[in-house]
Amino acid sequence: MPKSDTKTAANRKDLFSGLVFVGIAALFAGHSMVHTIGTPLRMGPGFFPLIVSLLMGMMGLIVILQAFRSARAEDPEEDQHPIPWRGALLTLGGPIVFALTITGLGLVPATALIVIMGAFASRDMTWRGAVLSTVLVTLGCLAIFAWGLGLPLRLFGTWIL
Amino acid sequence: MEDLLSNVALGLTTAMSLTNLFYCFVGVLVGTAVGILPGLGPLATIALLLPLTFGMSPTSALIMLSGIFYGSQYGGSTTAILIKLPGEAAAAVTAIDGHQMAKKGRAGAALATAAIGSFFAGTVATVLIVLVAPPLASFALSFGPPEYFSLVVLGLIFSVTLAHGSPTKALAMTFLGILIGTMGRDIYTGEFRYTFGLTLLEDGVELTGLAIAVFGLAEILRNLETPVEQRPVVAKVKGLFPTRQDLRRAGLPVVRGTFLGSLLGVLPGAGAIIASFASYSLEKRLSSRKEEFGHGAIEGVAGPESANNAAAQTSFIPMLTLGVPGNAIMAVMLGALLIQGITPGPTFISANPELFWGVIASMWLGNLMLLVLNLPLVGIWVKILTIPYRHLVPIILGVCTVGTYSIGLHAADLYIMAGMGLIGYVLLRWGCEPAPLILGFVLGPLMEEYLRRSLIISRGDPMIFFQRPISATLLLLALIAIVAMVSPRLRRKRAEIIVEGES
Amino acid sequence: MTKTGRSMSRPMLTRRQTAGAMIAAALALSFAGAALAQSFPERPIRLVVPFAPGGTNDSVARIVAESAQATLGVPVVIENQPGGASNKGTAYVADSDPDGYTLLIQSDTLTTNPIVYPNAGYDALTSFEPVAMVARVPVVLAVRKDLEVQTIQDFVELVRARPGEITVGTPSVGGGNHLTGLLFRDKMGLDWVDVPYPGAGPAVTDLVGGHVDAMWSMAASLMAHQESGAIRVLAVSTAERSPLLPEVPTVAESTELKDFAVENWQGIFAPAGTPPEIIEKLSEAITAAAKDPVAQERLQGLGMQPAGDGPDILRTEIEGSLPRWKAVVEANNITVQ
Repeated sequence: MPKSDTKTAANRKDLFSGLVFVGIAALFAGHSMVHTIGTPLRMGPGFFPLIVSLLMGMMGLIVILQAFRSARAEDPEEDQHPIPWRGALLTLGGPIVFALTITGLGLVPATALIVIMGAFASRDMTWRGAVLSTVLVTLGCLAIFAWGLGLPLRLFGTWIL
Repeated sequence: MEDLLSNVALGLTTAMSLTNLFYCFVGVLVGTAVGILPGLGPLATIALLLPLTFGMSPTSALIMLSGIFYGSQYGGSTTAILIKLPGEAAAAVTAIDGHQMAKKGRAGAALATAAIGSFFAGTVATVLIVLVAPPLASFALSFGPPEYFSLVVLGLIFSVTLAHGSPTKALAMTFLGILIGTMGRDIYTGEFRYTFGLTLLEDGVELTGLAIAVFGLAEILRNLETPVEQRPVVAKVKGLFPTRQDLRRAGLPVVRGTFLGSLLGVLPGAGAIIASFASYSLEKRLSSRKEEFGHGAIEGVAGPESANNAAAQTSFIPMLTLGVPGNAIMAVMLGALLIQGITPGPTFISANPELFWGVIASMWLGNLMLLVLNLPLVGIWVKILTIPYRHLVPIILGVCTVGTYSIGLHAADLYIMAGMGLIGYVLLRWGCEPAPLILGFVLGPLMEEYLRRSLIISRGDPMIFFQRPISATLLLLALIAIVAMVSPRLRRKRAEIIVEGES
Repeated sequence: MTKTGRSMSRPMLTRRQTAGAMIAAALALSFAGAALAQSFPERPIRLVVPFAPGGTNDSVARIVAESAQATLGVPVVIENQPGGASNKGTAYVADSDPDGYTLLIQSDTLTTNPIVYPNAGYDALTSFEPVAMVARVPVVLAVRKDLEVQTIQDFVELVRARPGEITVGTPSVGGGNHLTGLLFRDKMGLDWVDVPYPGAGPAVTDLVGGHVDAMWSMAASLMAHQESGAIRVLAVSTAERSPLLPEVPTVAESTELKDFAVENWQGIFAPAGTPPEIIEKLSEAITAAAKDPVAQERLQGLGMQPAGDGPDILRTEIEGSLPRWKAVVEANNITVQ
């Protein structure tokens, strides 16, 4: 791999992560103004987070600086694989969908729903495999959480019954 | 000495009654299961089972409840090793090197080492409780807010060693963790901080959900990156048990982890999490194979797992000997005892010798049961790794989601979990590791709480941290740690400059 | 029948008929209400605890639930809903259906929180129907072992001699314990340093360890330590000495505040609008549960005085203490957001 490619890859990682840190730091530091900061010896709720966000911002800046320096010795074997958009959406969407539907659909359908989502997160999933997984995992969750632990969750929610 | 032996004998006879053996077994079994399940933890389980204990004798009740607690420490490391999903936040550290070992086909060795190390730690911790419970307890009491502050500072400095990549990024992740930890209600004024107007953030971020998100979910996304054909075949499992070389390497870390964990566990508020992180840092510092850490060093599993378990056992000491609960779980157990009419405290041991010594003995027996339970299971667990990944994802997703929801039945926890999973994944792609974030999240708010409280107590005088001997010592250690970490780098920089100058 | 046919072919109801219909409907409804109460309870009852498991409120709830189950004939299930300084769970019950199947356990935090947190989500007087008072607890002043005071008067003198120096911990911000201490402080004109803690556990730990000088807290959290001598309880806040700590004098008898009388309580509540028949049934069952000898023993083990008083007493208590707490909160500027 030509040296310039590795250099760009290293730069991007550092650059972006540095930007994220600086960005979040700015967000928190800015929001600190809403809370009383107080003095170092009589700290208000905004004091400590303000200091920490400033420190984090500094770290972020250092990381950005490192991005522009000579190529860091990153693992050359570590290619950057493309982001698995479908997988990410389905996996991260799972908890969100569950949260939205748990009271409406109830435990059984909501669990089944997110399990199917998780099943199709992998590109190589077949319909047969998905159905099998869904049935087994939903039953398993039922057994553990509803029956085993006796959590007060409705099996079928208000939209259905 | 005679007294001691007769007490131990009393304890063993009490613990080995059929009823108590049964409850011990039930406790550790449930505990292991709960530890394996992401989300629901020992605290919620113990609370759920509390009504059951009303009908039991106090001894049996405490035996069962404590079994659940230290049993969950065993269980939590299983999923951490297998799928990099810490079932309990305390197992997060094990997930770092443990999972790497699993990827290299050494899951069996990792699991077995964790179990053996935990058993050793449990045994030693039990002995320590028997011998030095009262002095350890008074040691714990001498820790006030300034001492805790200094301890936490020391802990945070070690967080840098948790990452095997860039230390700057590790520090940044630690700070990020601290900031996430500050979101929620402020202890002193009761107002909401950094919730940005979102109701869902008002109760702050939940630790287990966060750990699952940044370790487990982010890891899933990472694994989904590689298309099936290119996915590295999980190396053939090279034997189920640790080799002799493994055991030799794991030996000292187990011992060190045990003592570190025993000490930290006694301090109310410190707990198993700090113990495992501290052990990891210690082992990395002392190891002659530093580069291996983060890529499957067995010391990174043996030490933290032992520390974990030792801390879990010794956290009983303040509760039993002083009536002072060290963490939420101890508080529930204290409540269980009080309801039964038993008052833990300095007179507890002499007033209820059967109960005290019986519980101590059962702790050791429980650890033995856990070892016997877990070692054969290693084979089964390892088989799980052979399930095609496309099936593992829905299982993990399903159990994590329902598990996290079951903690408090808050939809907010799930939204946060999804969000943090995204952030964790993105940062992971950019070379920032999750472990320092978790440590920052746990320790940051503690540090702030103790800092503010110390300054309130000292009426604004910052010298309080240096005037108290323990606190001053800890801060000195922290300073030494910083210097030790920075100087090799400075020396290298200087060497580079000299070389460049000469050329 | 055509669309308009109906109104044309039938006469409108006369006023008498309308009145009669309304009376009949009202009677039917009240019978239905009574019928509902007759069959109550038919399914498990949820007792919401707006605190984390293991705390005093939680333990009391479990004790009461256990005993009440027998009388009521259905399971009473504990549901922990911690969050928002107990406001979350409390507001949740306030918004629940007033059918008697969702109940709340609360302490005088119910009274004080809406004053301290304007966005609490409920009103102490109008959001709930009190069902029963199950326990009473005095607030006590406790000091660390080595503090050189033996009575509360000594303590007052010590604070006067060293203004702004003595540290007094409090297990919560704006809770009954905190406010009781502040009430005392204001009335005596003292100046001490308030040290807030996120709960009774850490607060008591620091007191036992000697890191704070004193603490105002529910007796329950301190009983064990008083017995072992790790701390010293100087006075109780109630008008008369508490059977839990008979050797400890009251604030009233040892200082110049002759009418100082504060008592914490633990009570069960139902959402406002719950039919009176259901309240009565619940109240009977719960007061009986609180008076049950097994429950009494357990409550005492926790450091609480079992009560078993009906809803009126509870309501009077709330109404009576409201103005007092309002004054303290305002004087000390504790409102949050």
